[in-house]
This record gives sequence, C-alpha cells and structure tokens, in this order.
Amino acid sequence: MKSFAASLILLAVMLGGMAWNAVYINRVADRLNAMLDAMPDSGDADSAQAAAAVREYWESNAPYVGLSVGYTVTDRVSEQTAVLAACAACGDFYGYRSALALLRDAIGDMRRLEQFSIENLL
Amino acid sequence: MITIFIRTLVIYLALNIIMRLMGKRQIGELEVTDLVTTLLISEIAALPVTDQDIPVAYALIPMVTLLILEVLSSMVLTRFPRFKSLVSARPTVIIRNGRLNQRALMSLRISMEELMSEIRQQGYPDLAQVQHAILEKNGKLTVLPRAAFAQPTNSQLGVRAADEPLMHVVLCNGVCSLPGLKLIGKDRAWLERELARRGYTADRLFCVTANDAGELRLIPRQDAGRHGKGDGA
Repeated sequence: MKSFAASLILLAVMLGGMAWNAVYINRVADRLNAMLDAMPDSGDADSAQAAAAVREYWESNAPYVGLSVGYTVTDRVSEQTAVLAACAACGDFYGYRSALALLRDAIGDMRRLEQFSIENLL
Repeated sequence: MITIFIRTLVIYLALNIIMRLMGKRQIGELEVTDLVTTLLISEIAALPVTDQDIPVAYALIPMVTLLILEVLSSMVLTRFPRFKSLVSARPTVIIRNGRLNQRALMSLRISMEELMSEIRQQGYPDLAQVQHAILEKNGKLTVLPRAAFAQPTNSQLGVRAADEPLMHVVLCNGVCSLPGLKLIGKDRAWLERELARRGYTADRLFCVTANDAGELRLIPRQDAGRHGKGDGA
C-alpha cells in the first residue's frame, strides 16, 4: 500500500512537472517567435538591437529549457541566435535572413516534444 | 566529465529508489511484466549516463512511468486475479502420475533432451522415477518423484527432531542492530546485560546472533585478544 501511495504521489508530481514544463517551453517559444516577428526585415541598426535582445532572452532561459529539451536542439537555437546577432551587427542581409529562418525552425523543434500530436508520438 | 559524474549519481539514486519501491520480487524470481520493466529501466537508465546530448529528464520520466505502471498493474492483478492470465503464464503439468504429456511438451517447445537434463539436475536419472513434473510460472521445473524413489523424511523414519529456532543478527561490528533485537522481542539493555554476564563488551565482538528464546552465539573480534569459536549460551 505504501508503494501504491508513493507511486500515486510520484505520478502527481511527474504530471505536474510535465505540465509546468510544457507551459514554460511553449511560453519561451512564443516569446521568441514574437520577438522574431517584430524584427525588421533588413539587417540595419534596429535589427542589431533586436537580435541582441533575442540572444539575451534566449541565453537567460537556455539553462532551464535544456533540462527537458535535447541539447542538440538547444545548441541549434543558441547557434542561430548568435549568428543572427552577428549578421545584424555587421549588416549581412543574406546571413541575417538565413539565420532568422533557421532560428524559427529550431524554435519549432524545441516546442515539438511539448505539443501533443500523433506525429510526435510516432 | 563532471556532467557524466553527476548524471551517473542521479541515475544511480533514481534506480535504487525505484527498485526499492518495486519490492523484493524484482530481485528474485521475475514475472514477465517485472522482467520487461527491469530490462527497460536498465536500458533507459544507461542512456543519459553515456550520451551527453540526452537530458537526464529523458530517462527519469520513462523510469517513473514504468514504476507507476508496475505498481498499478500488480495492484490490479492482486485485486482482480481473473486478469492474471493475461499477463502471466500458468503452471503446466508435463508429467502427471508418471505419464508424459507430449502435447504440453510440444506446445512449450521443450525437447526430451531438455526435459531429461532438467530431471537429471534434480537428482533423478530415469523418467520412470518421476511421479509429477510441473513447469512453473517462472520457468523452473518442479519434479516430484515416485514414493519409491523419494527421500524418507524424519517422520517417516520415526526420528524425533526438534525445530531449530531462527537466529537473528543483534550486533555487528560492535554496533547494536535494533531491527534484529526487535525481531526477537528484546532491547539494547537486555543485550548489554547478557554480554556483560559473559564478560564481553560490544566493541570486542564481531557479531552476535540471538533467537526468540534468548540464546546467544558470540563471535569475538579476531584482534580483540580473545580468539575462538562462537560462545554458545
């Protein structure tokens, strides 16, 4: 009976933790997407500032995201935020657009495991 | 390196707790569900230890899920034994009253060589000596010999033999074992009194065992100056 009670407590804790984690990951992804949506299309001075803000936001959340998201994905996001910031700072338009697209893709992968779908299950 | 070290610690602790919660069945004879759970847990636990790209949570979540499934399924199977046949095999009688059940042998895919080997390992060289043979749920073969080939018991021989009381460890390496004392219904004060009566102190003893009747067996430390075999009381 003790094992049963302990299992139920563990189940409740685990489900709570998983729900909280899913909300957190989705919130971080939504925020990053909103920041990317608000960025200017060209790599000018405004975009350099916005890219630096994206990078700063990501770096403050990356350690917590890394607790439940594979490091391959979190490393991709880190890499693309760095590339985005560098391209925006030096005015590399093509690099900037490319980094923006790759970053969106990495953010999609980051939230993939936290969204219920048959595709993810399989 | 430090990451792998910490991951190993976390996984080791989690596995210990989970195995402890699963109970003694995991350690001894395994049912199918137990075996599957144990195999899966050991596989899953090893992943984040060896692969740094996998977060520890990827192993903890499946392990805890398996634990919950295991406990819940044993609970359901205990309450509703009817479901037991779904996940657990039934014992199969292979030899009944000295007669070999060939159909059972075929369905279990056991060859005669394997059957003979099992029977020989249990001390019976000839099939004719076996009255019953049952393949148990855990895959072990129980062999019951014909009366003529069975070893006689004390009662059949008319020998009067007293039951031996169970001995429990009440002191180990000079440290009193309270669970052992509790099992025989005694306390630390009683043990200290008994040791003092025999001229010993706890720090001079390697091990002390005792039974319900209060009988003690003492094994002194080899470096305590007083050597010798156990001192019966």
